[in-house]
Amino acid sequence: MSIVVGVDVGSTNTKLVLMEDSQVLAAEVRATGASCRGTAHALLAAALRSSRRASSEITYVVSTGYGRKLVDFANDTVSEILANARGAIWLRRGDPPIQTIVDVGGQDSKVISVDGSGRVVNFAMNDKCAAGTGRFLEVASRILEVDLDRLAELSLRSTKRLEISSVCTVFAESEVVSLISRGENVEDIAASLHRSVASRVGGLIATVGLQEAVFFDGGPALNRGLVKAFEEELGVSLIVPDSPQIVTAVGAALAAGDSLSEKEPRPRTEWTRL
Amino acid sequence: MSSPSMATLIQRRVSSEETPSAHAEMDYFRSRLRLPEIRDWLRQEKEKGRKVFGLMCWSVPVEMVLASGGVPVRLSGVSENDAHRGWNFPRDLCPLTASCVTDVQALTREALLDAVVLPGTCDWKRKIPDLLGGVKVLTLGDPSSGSLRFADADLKRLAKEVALITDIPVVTRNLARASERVAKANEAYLALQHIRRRPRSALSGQDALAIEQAFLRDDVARWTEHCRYLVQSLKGESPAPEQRPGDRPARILLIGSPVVWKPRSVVHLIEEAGGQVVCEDFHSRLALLYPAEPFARAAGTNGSSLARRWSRTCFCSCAAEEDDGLVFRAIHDFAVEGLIGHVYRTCARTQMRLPGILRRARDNGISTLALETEGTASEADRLRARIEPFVEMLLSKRRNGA
Repeated sequence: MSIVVGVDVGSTNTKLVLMEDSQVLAAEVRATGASCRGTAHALLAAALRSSRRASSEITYVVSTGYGRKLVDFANDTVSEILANARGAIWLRRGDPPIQTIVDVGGQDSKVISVDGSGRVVNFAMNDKCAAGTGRFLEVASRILEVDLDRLAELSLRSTKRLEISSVCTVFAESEVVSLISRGENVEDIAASLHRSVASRVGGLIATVGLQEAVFFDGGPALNRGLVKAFEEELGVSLIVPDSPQIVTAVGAALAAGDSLSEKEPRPRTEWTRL
Repeated sequence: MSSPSMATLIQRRVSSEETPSAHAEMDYFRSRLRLPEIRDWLRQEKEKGRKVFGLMCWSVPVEMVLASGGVPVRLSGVSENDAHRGWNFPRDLCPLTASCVTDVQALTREALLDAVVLPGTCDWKRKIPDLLGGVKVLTLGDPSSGSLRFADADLKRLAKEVALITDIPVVTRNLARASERVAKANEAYLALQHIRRRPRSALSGQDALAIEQAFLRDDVARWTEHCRYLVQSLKGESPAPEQRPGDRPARILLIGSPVVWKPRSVVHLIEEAGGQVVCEDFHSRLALLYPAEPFARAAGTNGSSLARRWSRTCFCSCAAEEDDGLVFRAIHDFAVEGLIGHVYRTCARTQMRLPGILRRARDNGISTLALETEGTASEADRLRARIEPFVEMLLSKRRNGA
C-alpha cells in the first residue's frame, strides 16, 4: 500500500490530490496566494487530515503547474500538459476515447491533442495575453459587480447577441463599460464575455485540430455559461468531469505512481560547457 | 585583452603540438561577446587609422566595408543583457533594435564607431536613425529578390559612401579579396553546421549561437581560423554511445526573430529543458547554410553577383515559398524532431510569416511550438511552461517510436 501525491500549483489556485491504488483518497483546492510553498504544505496537511493518513505513508510526490519547482516536498516534477493529459485519460475511462483536451486555467489556456493510446501528440497554449483565460472572466465580473458563479447564471439567460470584439483583456474592459453605458442587459453582456473566451480558445483549438471526444477541464469548466459558449463555438458536446479543477493534479499523482513502479528517471540533458 | 595577430595564432599552432581543444576555442568565441574585448580590438584598429562601421545584421554586405579598408563590427547583444534597461526607448521597440542602439551608444561614447550601416528590411530598422543621435548612418533599401537592379544600385551607392569615410575606393581587386575572406568564413561556418547534423552533436545550440554572434566581433580571418580549429577538434571527438532512445536530447530547429545573446535566451531555455537546437534560422542563417548564390562566386568582380547573394541572405527579403523550402530542407538534413517558431511581439514581419510556416510544417507531420516573446529575462518562466512540455512530448514520441 503506497500513497502518492500530485500537486498542481497554478497561477490562481493550487490543487493537491492524495491517491492510493488508483483511488483518490483526498483532493484539496486553495487559492495559491503569495506563497506557493506555504499553500502546498497547507493543502497536504488538510488532505492528510481528511483522509486520516500520516505523512510517513507517502511514498512519492510529483508537482506540476507554474509553481512546481517551489514544492519542496516533491520528488519530481512533470509539465502540466503531460499531467493534464494523463489525468483526463484516466478520469475518462470510457468510450468514445478522448482525442482533444481543452484546459482553461486562471492565466493559461491549453489545447492538447492525444492519440488513441493517450499520448500527447500536439498542444497549443495561449500567448502572454490573458484573453481566453479565467482571468478575463474575473476582470469582467468585477466590472459587472457580480461574482463568477452569478456571471455564469446570468449568461444562460441571455436573449440578445452582443459582440466583444477585442482580443485583449484590458481593452475588453472598456468595451464592457461601453455596453453598460449603452444600457445593454447584464445577461447579454455576460453571454458575450463567455463567447469571447470560447472564440479565443477556439483559435487555439484550430491550431491543433478538433477531434471528438472533447474533454473540458480547469476551474472555469465549472462555469455552465462557458461550457454552453464552447459547445456553441465548437459545435460539439463537451465531456466535463465532476471536479474539473483537479484533473492536472490527478495526472501528477498518477505520474508519481508511474515513477514508483518504473523507477525510471526523467531524461534530462545537462549541457556541459564546451 | 588584446587578440593575438593572425600570424602569431597560426605560428603557435604550427610550432607547438597543441591538441585541438573545443573548450579553448569556445572560450575565444565567448570572449568576443564581451564589450571590453570588442572595445580593445576596435581601439587597436582605430590606432592603425582604420575606420569602424557598425553593421546591424548578417544581410549587410560586409564585403563592401572590407573592400574599402573599413572594420566591420556587428551590433546588438553585447552592451546590455536586458536591452531596455536604462534607455528611454519607445515601448514597442523590438529587442534586437534596442540592443543595437545600446551597442551603438556604448561604442560611440568612446568614439569607436565612424558609421552605422542599416538594412531597411523592417520598419524598426528604418526608424533607428532617429534613435542614434549624431552617428553617421548609411542605409540600404529592402533587398527583395524581385528588384535586383535596385539592389545593385544600392550596393554601388553604399560603396561610394563607405569610400568617402575611409578614403579608399572600392575597386574590383579589393572587392574580390574581401569577398574571398567572407567566402572562407562562410565555408568554416558551413563545416561547423555540418557537424551539427550528427546524431549526437557535441555542439550545443548555445555554443552555436555564441560562435555565430562572435562573427564580426573580431577580425574576420581570425574568427574563421578559430572556427576551423573548432571544427577540427570536434571532428576528432567521438560521441558517447547511446543507452536508450530517450537519452539523446530532442533535436529542434529554431526559426523566427533573431535571438540576442544572453544567458536566458530561448536557446538556453530549450536546452535546459532537454532539447538541443541543432539548427536555426533567425532571418538569415538558413540562406547562409544553403546559399542560392555561392559565396565564392560572389567573390567575382561583378557587383551584380554580390547583389544577388545579398538579396537572398535575409529572411525578410526572401519569397515565402523559398523560405519554406529552406526550412523543410533543414528539417530533413538535421533530422529535426520539433520546430519552434520564436517571434518578438513587435516583429511584424515574422508575426505575419511564421504562422504559415508552422502550419505547413504541422501539415507535414512536424511537431511545432510558437513562442511570442519580448526579449526580457523576466519572461523565462512563462516560456519554460511552454518549452518543457514540448520537449517532453518530443522525447515521449521518440520513446514510443512515433
